[in-house]
Amino acid sequence: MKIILNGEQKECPKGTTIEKLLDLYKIDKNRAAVELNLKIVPRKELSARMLNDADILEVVTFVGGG
Amino acid sequence: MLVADRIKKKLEDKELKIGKYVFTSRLFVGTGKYTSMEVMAEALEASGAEVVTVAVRRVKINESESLLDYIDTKKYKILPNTAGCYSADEAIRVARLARETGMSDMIKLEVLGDEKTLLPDPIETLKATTVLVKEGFTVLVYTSDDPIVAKKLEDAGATCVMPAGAPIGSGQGILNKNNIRIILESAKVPIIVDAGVGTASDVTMAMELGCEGVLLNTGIALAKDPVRMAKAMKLACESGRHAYLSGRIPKKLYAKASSPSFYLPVYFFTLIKNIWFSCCPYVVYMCAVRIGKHNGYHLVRL
Repeated sequence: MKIILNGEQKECPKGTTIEKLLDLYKIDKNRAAVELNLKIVPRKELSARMLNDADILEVVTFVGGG
Repeated sequence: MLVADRIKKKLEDKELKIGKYVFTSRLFVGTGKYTSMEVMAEALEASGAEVVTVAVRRVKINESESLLDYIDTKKYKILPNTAGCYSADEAIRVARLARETGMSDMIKLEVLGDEKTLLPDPIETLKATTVLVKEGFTVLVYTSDDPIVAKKLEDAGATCVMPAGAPIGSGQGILNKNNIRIILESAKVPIIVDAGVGTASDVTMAMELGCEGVLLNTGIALAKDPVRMAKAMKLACESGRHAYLSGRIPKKLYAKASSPSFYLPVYFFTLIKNIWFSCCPYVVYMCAVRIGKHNGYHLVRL
């Protein structure tokens, strides 16, 4: 199935959880926050929440800033 | 008690309280614009800061290096900002995401008006403050140096109000000291000057005015030697704070000698000369009167 991760289209197998997707792209979940279809996903739910086709995912972290 | 211990006790300062957080250092520094992460880490250390600001951005996929590899989150309190947001809704979204990382419920709220001036949008800033305060954030809000806006943000529940000294990254220092003074006069929350700091004396000035702290980034990051500038900013912040707490002397128009003018060990000749010169006009005048009287003239007294 196809999802949009940070504005880029990505392929992932059905039944992938958000946590698995983050692992797949080597994103440290302890340093990131996730928004699924414009709604924040609480950290505790990352391992349980399944992705569906055409989901829009935003994963953010901290970068240098003032 | 040793003199050194007595002095240490006298120079103690109360801690800076921002909501439920307590800090010793009053200098907050940013993590942007450094030439490398290593330099940034060194500058943070040299600045003695306990709070460091960061920005919230999309994770770059397949990029291994992370800012957080260089910031010890046990040592530094992370203060995420909402930089780059031009509406209350955008800023609120970024703030919520920042909190969801689980690293900080503090947010440096900035909602800007336009890209050219990077000046804050007071209306959107106030809107976002109200919402975020309700959601339980510790809101440190960036604003202009307008005392009325600052007051409204305080009334909306901001934990800390952060007026700009000058536009972001401009290095112009504190352009309107009087406005900062007016803000400080009525504020019941900590006031931290944020943005516009160019060099150490700007930090000192903010602290001397009575601000609780200073937040800066570019002044250090883009200095030729950022690590040394970080140290300078640290010292400047401490200097200004001590000067403020000490209570400065009032400004006077005329000189006032620091040393006593009596019992000066001068040569006898100099003493006579000084006495002679100081009474010379009077002696000449009196002589003229006497001679005049002797010759039958009466000089009019001046």
